[in-house]
Amino acid sequence: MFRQFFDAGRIHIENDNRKFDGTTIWVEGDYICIYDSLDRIVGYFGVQREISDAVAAATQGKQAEAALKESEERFRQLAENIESVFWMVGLQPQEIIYISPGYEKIWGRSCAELYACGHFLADFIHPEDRSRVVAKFSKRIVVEDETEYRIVRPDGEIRWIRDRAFPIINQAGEVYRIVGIAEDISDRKQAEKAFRESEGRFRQLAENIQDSFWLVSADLTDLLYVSPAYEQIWGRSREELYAEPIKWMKWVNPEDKHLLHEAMGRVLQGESSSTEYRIFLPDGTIRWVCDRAFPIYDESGNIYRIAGICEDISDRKLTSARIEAALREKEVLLKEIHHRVKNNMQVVSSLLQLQAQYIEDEPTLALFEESQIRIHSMALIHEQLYQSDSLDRIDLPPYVENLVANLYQSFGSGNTSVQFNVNVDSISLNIETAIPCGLIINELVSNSLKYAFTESLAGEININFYHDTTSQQFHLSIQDNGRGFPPGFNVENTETLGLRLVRMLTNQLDGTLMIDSECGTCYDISFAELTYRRRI
Amino acid sequence: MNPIKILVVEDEVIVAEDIAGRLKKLGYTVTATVVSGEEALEKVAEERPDLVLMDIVLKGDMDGITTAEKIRAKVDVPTDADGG
Repeated sequence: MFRQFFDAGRIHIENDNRKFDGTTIWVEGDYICIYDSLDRIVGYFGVQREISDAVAAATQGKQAEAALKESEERFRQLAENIESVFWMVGLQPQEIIYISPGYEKIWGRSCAELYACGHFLADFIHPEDRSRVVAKFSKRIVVEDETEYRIVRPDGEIRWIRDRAFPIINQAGEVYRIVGIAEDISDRKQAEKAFRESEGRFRQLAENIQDSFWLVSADLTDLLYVSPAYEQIWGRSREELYAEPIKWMKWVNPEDKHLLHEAMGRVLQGESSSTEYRIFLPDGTIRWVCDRAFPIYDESGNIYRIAGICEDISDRKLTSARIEAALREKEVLLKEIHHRVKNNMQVVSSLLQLQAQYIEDEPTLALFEESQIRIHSMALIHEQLYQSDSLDRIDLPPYVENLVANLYQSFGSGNTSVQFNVNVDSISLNIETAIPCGLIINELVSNSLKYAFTESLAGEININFYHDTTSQQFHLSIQDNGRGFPPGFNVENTETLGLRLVRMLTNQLDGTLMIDSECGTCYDISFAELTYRRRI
Repeated sequence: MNPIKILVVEDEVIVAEDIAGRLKKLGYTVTATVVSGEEALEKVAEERPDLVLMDIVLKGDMDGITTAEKIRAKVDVPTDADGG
């Protein structure tokens, strides 16, 4: 330093000195050399000024600069790692001052290219949004602004961007820069689109189906939605209902209101309900509707809404009423036919009775009586059919009881000591099977009553009728404790009408007949129910 | 001259028995009385009758009309259907 001083002959330096009390001070000084006549340096002369305060201030300035650097670093970390894009443009001249690296990720283009270009390129914006966005950004921005638009990436992919811009004002009060933040909102847009499509689908459903959809608060006071079909079904406007939802109850047939109260009670208990009821249209006509309601739960599991579908079932009701009427008519007709068959048989029986009045010969008279009894056993079946609910099946226990009581009356009048034990399972048979069964019982019980017992003998006749569920076979046995067949009677080739009929009818039943005369007489018949092709 | 042979097809055996009795009295031969269409087809094959008297409603799956058609398809026998 002295070298420099001596060579130049003068110097200006700042250096630290020590005061007499030892404290450090900063001194600024101008020094000049003093020469003798031979230009030799003999001393120097200087003027000094204390600059400690200025030096301290300068040190502070350096620290401030470091702090600024740190702050800038923090901003950079933020800007360069966040997914959104920060940008800053200058207006005079127009230039891109900053664009954060997020740009490369979202736009799929390089920042360097953009810096080189100096401004944002409208080409990157989706053609449909381009003119709108360009118009917006060409305007002088004076307040915070926001816009959404699509960009097209080099790979052709389209992204949705939400861009916010904030003007920056200089000391002169002029906007000289604009900063902004652009974020990728493609996912949100996609979700919005999906939602709109889903809502559109729901709307198409709700508004085009002829049944009326409705959604109401659980207390029924707030109608949230009712589809347009409501107006067709109820003949009233939706506005009227929205204004006063509880009004619909006024249009329900008073006799059916309790059904709806019950149904709503069930829905509020968490069940779904289906109610058919009548409503009045404004012109007074009555319509049948079917309303199905379902509870809707909130997040805490409480029922807070009720959803429903209301369907016009007037036509269905009318059709089903017609079908029911037709069925009733058919039933009445069938009963009428059975009634007439029974009456005709009664007439035939009466004709025989009238004819018999002209007969003197006892054996001939007996033949007439037997014929009448046979006819009666068949007439009983038709009588029972028109008196019962079932029109094609005979309930056996009452039939057998009636049959036996009738036979007892006809033959047993002089034989009051005969005891009947009737054991019939609760079996029902079709008419094709029941008639032969009835005739068989008629013949065998008649035979027992006529031949088995002498006047004095206390007799027993057992009738068992049961169904073996494993073999699906029916078993009919008629047994008496009488005197059995007379000596020399060959049951196998007897030609009495009664036994001939029993054989023929067993045949008709495709059954087997077993006769046992060890102790009294016992007939066992096994058969299955006959199957006839259904004629209706 | 041989008597005319008749097959009686009737599901009510008592009616069948009656018809058969009357026919015999009139001098005809009754080849058999059967209750179902299936049996009728068998009998016709066994011994060809000159006439079949056929009920419409029969036991089993075949009715009289179907049975008559099947008999006619097999052999040339006139069939008279009486109401069921």
